[in-house]
Amino acid sequence: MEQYYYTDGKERYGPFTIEQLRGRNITPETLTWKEGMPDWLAAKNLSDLQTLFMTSESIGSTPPVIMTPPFREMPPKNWLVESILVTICCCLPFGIVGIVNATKVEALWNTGQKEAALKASQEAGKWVKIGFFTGIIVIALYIILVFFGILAGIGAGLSH
Amino acid sequence: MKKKYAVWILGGIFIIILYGIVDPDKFVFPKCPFRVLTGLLCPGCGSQRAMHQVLHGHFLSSMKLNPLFLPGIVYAFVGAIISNFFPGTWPEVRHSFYGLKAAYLALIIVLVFWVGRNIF
Repeated sequence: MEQYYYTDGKERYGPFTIEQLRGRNITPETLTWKEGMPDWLAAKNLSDLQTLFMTSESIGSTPPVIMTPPFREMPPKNWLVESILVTICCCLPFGIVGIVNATKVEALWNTGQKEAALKASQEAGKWVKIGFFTGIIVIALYIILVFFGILAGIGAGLSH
Repeated sequence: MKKKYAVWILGGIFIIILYGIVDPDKFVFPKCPFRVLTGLLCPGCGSQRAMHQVLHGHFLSSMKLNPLFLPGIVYAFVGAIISNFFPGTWPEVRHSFYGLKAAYLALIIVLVFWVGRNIF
């Protein structure tokens, strides 16, 4: 049985068989993909999906949207895991900016905007690193302060 | 690449020993700068003490100090293993658990938790 994927421009759905696609509001313009196809195509261009539109008439054609077929290529690093780690371990809200950027990476990639997704990925990485290194610097400064505090205390104790 | 892993593993061992031996509740440890500046709790407050509790097997006390710490660490650990050691395998798992929905969910949980723990 052939397995089909379709997208609403935001999320990918699938795999489904033709029978399963029936209840899923597929229009002739819905972008669909199955194993072996080089790119997404409107459902009306797939001969095997025509049974879905027996009653509906296909309307004017739209230019094909360039999209990445499902799971063919891995999306860029979204930094979600690192952002969450920075958020819960590092007390600074930079991790939250990282999580917001992670959602952008995924949303852009799912709609086929490769370049923008790569950019968002770099942005996410940048904020994770800012958060991480700010945390490290704060901890280092703190340790130095405590260390000098202890030295000062010892000094004061000796002079008495 | 191998050097990178060595740094992470050594860093991890250092943190485990440090937080395993020292109780951040009793010994002076860096306080959260957000808390010092604003007096409010941030989503990460309590995670140092939570780490100490986890390393001693007190999972319940860890959850009381920061309920996001333990689940967050486990989730991040699994995600890091998958993306570093098995890149490209199980794309469906990555898509469902580390994709767009997961990121939105994480964002909502963190923000709700941040606001919530300062109110209640």
